[in-house]
Amino acid sequence: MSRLGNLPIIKHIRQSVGLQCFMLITGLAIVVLFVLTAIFAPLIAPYGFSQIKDASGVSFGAQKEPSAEHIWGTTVGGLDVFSRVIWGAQTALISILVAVIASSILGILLGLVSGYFGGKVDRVLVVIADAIYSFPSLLLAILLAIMINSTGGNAFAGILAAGISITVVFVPQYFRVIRSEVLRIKSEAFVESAKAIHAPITRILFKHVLRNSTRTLPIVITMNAAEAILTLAALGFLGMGIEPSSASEWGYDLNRAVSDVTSNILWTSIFPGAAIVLVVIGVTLLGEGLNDLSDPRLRIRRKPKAFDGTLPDDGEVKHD
Amino acid sequence: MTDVVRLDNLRVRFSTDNGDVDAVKNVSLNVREREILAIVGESGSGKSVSTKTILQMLPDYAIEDGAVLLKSSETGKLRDVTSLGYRELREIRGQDASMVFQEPSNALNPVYRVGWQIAEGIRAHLPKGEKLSKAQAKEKAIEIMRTVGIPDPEVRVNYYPHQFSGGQKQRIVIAQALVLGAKLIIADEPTTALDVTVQAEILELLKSIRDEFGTSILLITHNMGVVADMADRVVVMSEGAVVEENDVFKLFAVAENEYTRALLAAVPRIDAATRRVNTRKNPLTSQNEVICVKGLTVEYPAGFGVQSFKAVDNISFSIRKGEVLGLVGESGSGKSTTGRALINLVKSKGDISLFGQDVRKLNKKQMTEVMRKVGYIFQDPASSFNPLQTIGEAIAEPLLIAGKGDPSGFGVSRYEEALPRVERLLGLVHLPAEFCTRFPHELSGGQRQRVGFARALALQPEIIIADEPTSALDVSVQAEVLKLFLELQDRLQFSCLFITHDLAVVDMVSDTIAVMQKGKIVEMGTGEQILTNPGQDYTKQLLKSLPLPDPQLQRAKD
Repeated sequence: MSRLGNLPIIKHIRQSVGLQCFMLITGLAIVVLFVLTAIFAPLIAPYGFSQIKDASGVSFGAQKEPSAEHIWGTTVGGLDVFSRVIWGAQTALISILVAVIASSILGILLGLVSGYFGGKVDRVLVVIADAIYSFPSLLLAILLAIMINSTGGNAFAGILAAGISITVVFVPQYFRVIRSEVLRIKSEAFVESAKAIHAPITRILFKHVLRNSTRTLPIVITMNAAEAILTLAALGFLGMGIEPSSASEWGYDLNRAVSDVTSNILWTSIFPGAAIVLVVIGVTLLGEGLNDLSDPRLRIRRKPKAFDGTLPDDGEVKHD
Repeated sequence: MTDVVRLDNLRVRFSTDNGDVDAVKNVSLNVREREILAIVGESGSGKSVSTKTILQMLPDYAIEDGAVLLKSSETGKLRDVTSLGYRELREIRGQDASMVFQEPSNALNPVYRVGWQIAEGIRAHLPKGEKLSKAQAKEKAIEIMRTVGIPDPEVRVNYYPHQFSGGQKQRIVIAQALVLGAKLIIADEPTTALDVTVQAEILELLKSIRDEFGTSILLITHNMGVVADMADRVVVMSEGAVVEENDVFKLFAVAENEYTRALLAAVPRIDAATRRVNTRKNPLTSQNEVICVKGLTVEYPAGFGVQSFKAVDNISFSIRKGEVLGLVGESGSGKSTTGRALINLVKSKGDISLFGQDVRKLNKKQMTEVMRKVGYIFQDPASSFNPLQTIGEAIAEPLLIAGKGDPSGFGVSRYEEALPRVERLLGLVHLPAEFCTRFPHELSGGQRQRVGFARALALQPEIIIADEPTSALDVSVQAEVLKLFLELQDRLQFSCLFITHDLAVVDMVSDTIAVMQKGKIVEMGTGEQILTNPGQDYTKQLLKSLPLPDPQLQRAKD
């Protein structure tokens, strides 16, 4: 129990009260729903993401209103909206995973080396990170998407391209967070104590410094995940994302639905739009909740139970 | 005499991540007019929490029960502060009672001039509609700064906190506490962060404030010497309850309570009976020098607008096999830097020879081998362990790093192989073998420092460098750890550089004492010479400033 209770999110829920608890649990529920949808998309979605004909070879028809066959209707290209939204979750999850894993590994290693050794390497890396920061991140992502997309066209390459475009934008964030933690940790007494027993540098870096620097990572990861979804959707909306035939993508669907809105066809835009908003809200709530709880100064604490035993005149506490 | 403050059956409960904790279980005490009441107790005894209720400074996640009666400066009557609202609390804070904090550097705001900060209290308490001109505020600040003994207050009223020394900063904090004429000053460990010579001055100031203004002082401390010097009456607390309340002379002469007696017995004293030379099991005979340092200098280079600074300035000493050299000095004297320079944690100049080998001439491999014979014990056991490593892993780490085939014969290549040695080491420091799987935060301070000893002794070193190993510990825990140190030293007969600021501790552990001041060794000799017949003025001053844990002797000093 104590081991399980010490896992990041479970520990946080046990500590939380009131609004913070609500935020954390709501966020967690949405994220779990999103992940399950993505994993079980082939089972949930009635049709494929690029399917325009049913089993007997009859076309779905374009811009059909929601009905029993197509519960959220069909798009202008004759695709089933419900299936597209479900499959879109899978694309979003994979892109987030690629982006988060790649950017965190790269950012953490660079931050560790930069923070611990300092000196010229540190200064150069900080300048590069700042330079990337000062760039509009979406523009950077578009540039990278164009560069990567021009080399290949399949689904995997498309998702990878989106993931890597997002990665480059987020590496500086991980870099900075880890670097500042490392700067703090490296002056702690236990690091000096490791030096005093002549521990090799790799041992100090990974066993002592890195393991103690990852406290804020869950927060950064969740925050970045939310931004990653938005960046992915924006890329898709601008037509720089994944090819529609290779995977379903919410941003692309929104782009295609723009003209529908003027002709009062709302089902093609509302559902993919709501999916984006919901996932971003869920991930952000989770991140904010973790952030508030990890900082003892922001954490709302519950009041202790009131005193029940009364004190008689002789001052002895009565135990019941 | 009437009471200035009275706590009646006070209880305080905190909500923590691991459930509710009763920090104060039942405390009743009173402070009379013109009285200095000392509350003593070890960390976690609830002494700070109890007094925080007087100004209602407990955090939101705490609740209290019982009465806290504070004398009002307006009506002269006692009133219960637990029922007061925000506006009324603002009035009593500073006016009826005020606080002096432990760390003066943190209690002052670094971006405001001290004069402004002193006057802030006056401005906050002005009656509605009244105004205080800048000149008037400054005048009041200057006046009060003169009272607390700041030289040239007319000039220094415009200084920022960083332009004052630690002792002067504490004087300014006391000035802030005084400026509204509060009849009660709550001083929470006011001298703990200060050096012993500065501590003596601040205590003198507090006494003179009591005599001059008739202010009552509630002094919270863990230092029995300070109690003996200052208090009229003493309240001893343990585990959230008052265990004894007594007159200071009676308490030190015939304490009623067993806990008090144990606490008093644990206080280290400068005394021939506990002097190391008289407690040694094996007399020191070897003339073989294991450490020989000549002209050691540690210099921090000049930076932009910063002059270069010699933390250690051309010092020389040697330690024989089995000898303990006590290095005493105040903060900033360079004593810790000396220890760190010996194991190459800081860059230094000068000759260091360990076991007859000049370390400057060794290659990396030879250096590693020599350094394995040196163990290091750190000051604060709470921070010197990796919080994510178990105790077993922490002790096994030096063995793993040494690796199999290490000349000491203890090196291992896997953690499992280290376990028998780890368990033996735990036994050596009187801890059960089950502690292997625990994490540092699950141990008490004293237990953690025992683990620190075990880790330092893992490769059976011939030299131990102990950097203030007991100064972060409570006095009773310190006594246990010192006892363990002496036992281990008798048994293993390692040579040791024992760094401390405490003259009484150094008397108990070291054969030879070196006194450091501003990077230089000003005096060196046997414990007896240095402590009973010091040759240098600085050493004499240190000895005079040390508050003796005996009110009769301490008060006879003046």
